[in-house]
Amino acid sequence: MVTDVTALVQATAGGDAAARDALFALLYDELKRVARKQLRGMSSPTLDTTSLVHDAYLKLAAPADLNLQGRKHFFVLAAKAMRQIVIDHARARVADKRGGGAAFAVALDEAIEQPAQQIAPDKLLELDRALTTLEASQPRLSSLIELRFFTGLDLAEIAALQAVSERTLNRDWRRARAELYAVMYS
Amino acid sequence: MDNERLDALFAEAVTVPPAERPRWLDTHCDGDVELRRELERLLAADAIANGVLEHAPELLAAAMTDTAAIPQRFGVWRVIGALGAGGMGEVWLAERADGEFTQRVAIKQVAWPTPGLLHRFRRERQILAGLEHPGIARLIDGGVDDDGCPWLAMEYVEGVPIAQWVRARALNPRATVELMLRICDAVQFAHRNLVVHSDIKPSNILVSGDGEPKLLDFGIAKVLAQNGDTGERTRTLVQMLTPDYAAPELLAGGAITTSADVYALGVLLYELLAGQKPYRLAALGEGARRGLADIIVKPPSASVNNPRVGARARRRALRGDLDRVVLTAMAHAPAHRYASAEALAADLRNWLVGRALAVRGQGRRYRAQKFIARHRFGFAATLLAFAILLASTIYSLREAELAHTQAARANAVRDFIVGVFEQTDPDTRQGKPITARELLDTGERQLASTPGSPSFHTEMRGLLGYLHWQVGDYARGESLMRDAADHAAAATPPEVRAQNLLYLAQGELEKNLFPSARAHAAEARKLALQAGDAGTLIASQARITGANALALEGDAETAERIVRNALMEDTAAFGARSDRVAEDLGILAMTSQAQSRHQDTIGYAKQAIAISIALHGHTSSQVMGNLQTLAAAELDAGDLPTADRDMAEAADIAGKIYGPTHASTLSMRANLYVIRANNEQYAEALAGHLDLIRLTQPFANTRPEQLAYDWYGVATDYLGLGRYEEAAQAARRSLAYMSNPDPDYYIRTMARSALAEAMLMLGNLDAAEAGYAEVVHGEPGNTRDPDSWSLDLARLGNVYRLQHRYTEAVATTGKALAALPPGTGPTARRASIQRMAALAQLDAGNLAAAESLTAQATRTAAIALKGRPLALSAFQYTGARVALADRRPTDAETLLRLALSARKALPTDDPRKLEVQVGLIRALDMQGKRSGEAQVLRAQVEPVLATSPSPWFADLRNSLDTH
Repeated sequence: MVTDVTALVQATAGGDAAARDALFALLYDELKRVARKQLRGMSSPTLDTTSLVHDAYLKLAAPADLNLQGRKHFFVLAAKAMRQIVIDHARARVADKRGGGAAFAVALDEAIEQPAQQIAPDKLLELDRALTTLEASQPRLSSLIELRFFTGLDLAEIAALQAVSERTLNRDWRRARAELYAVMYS
Repeated sequence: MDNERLDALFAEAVTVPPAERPRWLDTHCDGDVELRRELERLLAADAIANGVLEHAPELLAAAMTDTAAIPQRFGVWRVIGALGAGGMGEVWLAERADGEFTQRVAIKQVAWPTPGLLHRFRRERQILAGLEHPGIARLIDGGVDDDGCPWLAMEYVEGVPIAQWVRARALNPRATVELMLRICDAVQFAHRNLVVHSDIKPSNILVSGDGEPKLLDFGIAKVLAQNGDTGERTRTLVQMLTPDYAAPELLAGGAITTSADVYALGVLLYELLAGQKPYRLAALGEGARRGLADIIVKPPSASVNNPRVGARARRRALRGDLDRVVLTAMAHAPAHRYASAEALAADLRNWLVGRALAVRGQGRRYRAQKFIARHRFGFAATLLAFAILLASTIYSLREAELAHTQAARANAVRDFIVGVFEQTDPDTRQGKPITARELLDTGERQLASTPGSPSFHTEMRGLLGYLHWQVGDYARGESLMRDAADHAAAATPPEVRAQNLLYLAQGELEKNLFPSARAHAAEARKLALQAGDAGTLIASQARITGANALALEGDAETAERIVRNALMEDTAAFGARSDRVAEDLGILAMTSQAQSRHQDTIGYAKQAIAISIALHGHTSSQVMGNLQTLAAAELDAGDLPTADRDMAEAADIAGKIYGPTHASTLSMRANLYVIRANNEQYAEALAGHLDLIRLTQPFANTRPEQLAYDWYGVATDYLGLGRYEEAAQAARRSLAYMSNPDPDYYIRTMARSALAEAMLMLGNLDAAEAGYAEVVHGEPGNTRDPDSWSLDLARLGNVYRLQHRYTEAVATTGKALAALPPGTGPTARRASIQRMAALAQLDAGNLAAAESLTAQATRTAAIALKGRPLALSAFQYTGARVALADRRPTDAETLLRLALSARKALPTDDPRKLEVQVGLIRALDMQGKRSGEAQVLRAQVEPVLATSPSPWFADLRNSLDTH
């Protein structure tokens, strides 16, 4: 299992689309499983998505076997898998309620006040669409948002993965965020 | 457009204050309209961006929570839907398609991994699967998933929860009681099979369309919660229980018994009849929740809601007999409840046909008292639960694995125990609580009249003997156990005899009867090895019991060799992370502790703790026991704060597992206060000891040794505080509680030694001499540890010195030094003996010998008594005495000032304080410092010295007058 995943990650890093798809499917299932396991062990139904991704990483990959490039690909793909899980769920939930763009910021602000509350599914779908739009023009920035938003890695961790300075990444983050909001509110 | 240029400009632009940005853009875009529009677009977006993207993980959690994978399969079962979630975890509906036959089950998945569940499940499965009764939903299958979380498959019941069913049909009391009778019947059936439900509540009873009630989850709580020992099991169990239906003793951490089910049946009946629960724990204060002792439970008739249709008629129907039945079932003390579900059912039948109730007298008593009586949770019930547990554990194991004849034996044992239980019927007891001994006597009587094979009788005698021993009737216990062990009937299987011998050995070990414990353990092991697989565990336990006895007896080296071998074999037989290995490591910790290899002890104890935490979690008896060993090693290694911390943790665990008055909790706490006293926190230690005594007093009959030990602790605390009268009194109390007849029993010698010290301090040298002489009579034998014997001998020599019998003083302290085992290392005891030898030589006029001994003593003390100023002050005083004799008054003054600062908190008439003050006066005088200080001191000291007839005081007076 472990060597399989290592091989898959390496093939993915080398541009093998089939390996990428296989790894993505694996991550998609594993993240859900780890989530279930985490939830069972807790009294309140809240998850820590950061540890979720880390747990999946430790479970699937033998950390020693992956080089930096491999780790980066693993987390980038894990972020995509998390995004897929969350969006699939949001799609299932959204009936026909559609919120306006301006409400997004409000809704998110409220959510910050009560961290346990979930983001309204339709807002998540909006975010997803904006990310897809951004991906076409600025794939690097959309990937950065994906990594941070869906895995909970912080900038220092992402900087280490991408082998860039934290300062550079801070700058990228500010730009990425502005681009995303620009897409959503234009 | 140039993306990099845009990047750089945007990064800079966001640092420019918004008001200055238009001008900034003018200069930096240099007429590039597109670039400027792009920058403005980004800056506008940046202005409305908030922190959401950074805080997303928490926000996503809820989405993930819903979407987390639903399990597809459990073993052979395919999940077809969710049935709900409860305190224990989630419930799924699943089915198994086997050709044309489809079986549906409800699968419960527990919310947390339970170590050892699979093993317990297999053990219990035989019994639970055999619980075939129309009123009980059967356990069908079980396992653990990939993550180690256990699941159980139960017969799927389609029905309505009973409370809802009764409400929907507005059942009258009569119909409700008839329904209740069927439930009692199912519960009684399970009890006869020694299965306790322990979580009976309305949601666990479904009524099918045709009106048949069915109990869910029978015995499940036990499977799920069962762990190494009773206390731990209850604790885990209580987390899962619905507290409103749990018996008070369960909430208080007591044992799980059939009586708790009777209580829950009472609560259930209350709720069905009155339409509401008798109480809601969530609404009660913490104190009430702990014991339910103070809750006033209204009779059900008084709880019937007014708006309810027919409320008045219903109240009338309940008032009187039904009220009494319910309140009797819900009695606070298990001994006051119906003895069984059957007895409850019998009274319900009495009510149905209008006969007089069996409990009439009791019921009236309860109504008069208007509350659930505050009787201490009956020891008898705990004991019985223990017996049932023991028997069911031993026999369910055998039943599952061994031959049919043994299964028949197991049934005989169960019937027997249930019979004893039923004889404690509250009616015949007329409300008097039954004592443990009465219960055992009943058991013995019943055994005599019970037919059965000789081996059954042997087995039960051994069990009863062990229980007798546990409640402190050693003579009866021993004779029964010996009888059982010696019984050589051909039909008695070797493992049964081995188990009985092991009981005997373990009992003897607890009473410090080491040689016989060792002999019986060896015999037990031999027999157990003959028994093959059935004896593996007993053989391993017997070996460890033997080694333990050997170590406590003083031969730690041999014990250690044995345990090392055991460790290897047990690692191979049971695995490196097993209870057996953890126990071996725990004993190794003790044997190395006995050889003063404190670092080894600390290492072994920590390993054992790590294994036990992995197997049983942090709050477990195994962790507690090894924390205690760890603390002892840290104490001896001089690391008092760490010792205090670890011992406090052990005491805390004991409290959580066993409750505040359990023997283990009390002895853990007692050891904590010993550590505090060693740390010279005498006032704290004293408060703790007195509290322990308050808690232990009610058990004076069954735990005299604990009280003896606590009073001994009080005596040493008072000695440390300089309150010698009280110390003497406490030591006498300790001696009065001592029930062990052995004259060399360690608590007895310690208490006698403390009494002698108090006598010495009070100036009664004759009594001190007699006391120490009694303590050291003869030579250090098998039962006396040579270290403490030598110290007591040196103290006797010290008394001789104060009596001016210098030749004897020198000889006796010299003998004490010689008697110290070689290689003892720098211990506090060695230092004290050297010090007293030095004083003897000094007063006998041998200055050179005194000087060399003092130097040795001081070096030893510096290592052994680090951080204990009061203890060290004795060595400073001794050094000062030598310096004065050697005409080095400046050195003496320095030492005496140190000693005085350590002793300043002592009372003014304390000889330990006075001797230092007198020494200081002499040191000052000798230096010609006829200054104010010496005079002030003299004026303080002389009147105090005049108050006592003590020869010690007279010596001090003389040394002031003569120099």
